[in-house]
Amino acid sequence: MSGGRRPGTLRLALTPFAVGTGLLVLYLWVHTADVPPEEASVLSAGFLGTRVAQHVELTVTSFLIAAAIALPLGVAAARSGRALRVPLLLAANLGQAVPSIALLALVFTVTGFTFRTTVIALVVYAVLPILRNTLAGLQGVDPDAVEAARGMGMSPVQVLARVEVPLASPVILAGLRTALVLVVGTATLGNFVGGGGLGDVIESGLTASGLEPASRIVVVGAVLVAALALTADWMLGLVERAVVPATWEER
Amino acid sequence: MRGPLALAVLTAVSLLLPGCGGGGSAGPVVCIMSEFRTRADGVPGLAKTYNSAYGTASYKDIGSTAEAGIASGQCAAGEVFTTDSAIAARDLHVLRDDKGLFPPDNVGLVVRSAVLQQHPGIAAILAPVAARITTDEITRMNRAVEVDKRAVADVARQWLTNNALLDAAPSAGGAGTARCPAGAAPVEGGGAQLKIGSKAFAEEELLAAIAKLVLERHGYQVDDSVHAADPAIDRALRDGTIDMLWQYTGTELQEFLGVKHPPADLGSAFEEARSRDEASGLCWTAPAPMNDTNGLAIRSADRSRYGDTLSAFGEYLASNH
Repeated sequence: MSGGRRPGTLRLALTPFAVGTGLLVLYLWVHTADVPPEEASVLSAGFLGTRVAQHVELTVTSFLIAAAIALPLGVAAARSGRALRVPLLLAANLGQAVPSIALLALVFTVTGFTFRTTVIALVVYAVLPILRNTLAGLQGVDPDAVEAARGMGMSPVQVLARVEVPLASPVILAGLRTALVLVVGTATLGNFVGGGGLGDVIESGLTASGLEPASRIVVVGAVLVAALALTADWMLGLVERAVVPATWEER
Repeated sequence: MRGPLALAVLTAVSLLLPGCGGGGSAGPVVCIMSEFRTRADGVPGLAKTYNSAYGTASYKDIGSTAEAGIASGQCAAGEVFTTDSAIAARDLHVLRDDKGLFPPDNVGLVVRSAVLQQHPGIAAILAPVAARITTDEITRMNRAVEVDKRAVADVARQWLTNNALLDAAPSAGGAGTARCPAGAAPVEGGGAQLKIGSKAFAEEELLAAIAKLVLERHGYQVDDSVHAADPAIDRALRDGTIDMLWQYTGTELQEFLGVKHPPADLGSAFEEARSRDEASGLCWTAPAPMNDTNGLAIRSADRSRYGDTLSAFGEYLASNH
């Protein structure tokens, strides 16, 4: 599993700096350019602001629902035999194997041009990495530790909460981070089904009339999505640092 | 125990977040395709020509025209194309463009000049047919194909028969130019092979089928198997993969010729496209009066609330923001 380690201090310290610098360069680049009026409406603070807010809303909502579904399922899968585990992983794999745009179109036929449509598709998409990492993390816990905890007289719930989950937390959190970054990027597809978000900005640039696409708008949209993804990853990195037992690293 | 705790905090924080996003903002929602936002005759044009409220209204971007969203009430109004059969099928009303913002998008048959010089009859044969293709007629044909699911060729043939156009006399032909002759002779094709392309939607396929049927009546052999979207189909015409294509004047002027503000009436738009394309070896012939332009549509039932025209809807937006 990738990222089964606490994120480095240097990376955590540098990310906000890098994102800030990137956004500043972007701002100056747009600000000093001679922007035609048709583009200016897209590059206005008002329009970009609502799309960033929508994007955050889409991402956070989908991520939390996906986590709420996939974490307990991961625990259940780790505890159960193959009879439950295999179909669970199969279903999660299917959710991610279907191209996200097709998934969106499928959900759209049921829920139409709503916020919900994008959220449902994103949740289905984000469940797999969380589920798989939770399962892998719990399966990787040293059986001796579990045995020792039982020997101390802990109940099964206590063993899970106080021994297994903390020991598996680096891998579980790596899954959460993967899912979150995936959702930030995929949320741009919300543009096609009225979900809003930064996809609106990118698509406005791609389809701008005239002989060539308005590349300035596309760059602004893409950089904002990248900045959001880095920020989201950074925030979970902070959570990870606070949560993962420090002793884990010394093992 | 810090893991579950941190997750609980994250959850609590994020539950407060929804509501600050633009998910549910006040005022009527207008559904558009993203391209409408930057186009001179899109949102910027609406704000400038009609009401600044169009500039600040809440727009929802969708990946197609908005008929379904309007009909289901998820969009108060939305971007449509005026000849789309779904407008009638879903009982929508296109807000009248009372200040003439949307440039005309009528069609003409664009023929490569090398082909037209060899077969000048094409223009003379198709001009009288094209002259009868009005917005109402093409909308009805679109509906027969898209809603009633009838075959394109059948609909085209029936329309030609009903209007006695299969055997219409070729027009006398205008003056034309050396590059793009409009003279009538020779009219008959004598088995000459022609390729007509079409964009991949019902209206274009119908127009191609009509041209094919009429030209075949005059002894040409016509292949109408090439379908592609813009700009690929336009390239196919320029590189000789196809001989002719029904093209929209607005699309040609704005997207391929870089004219930001095309003329506002059908005749001048056609003339502008014709004169600009002639130098590059493309001849505009057989103008049709049908106008497949952009519009904003609402539910017919909402007319009492939003009004009939873009002006009235602009005022509604201004007062309900």
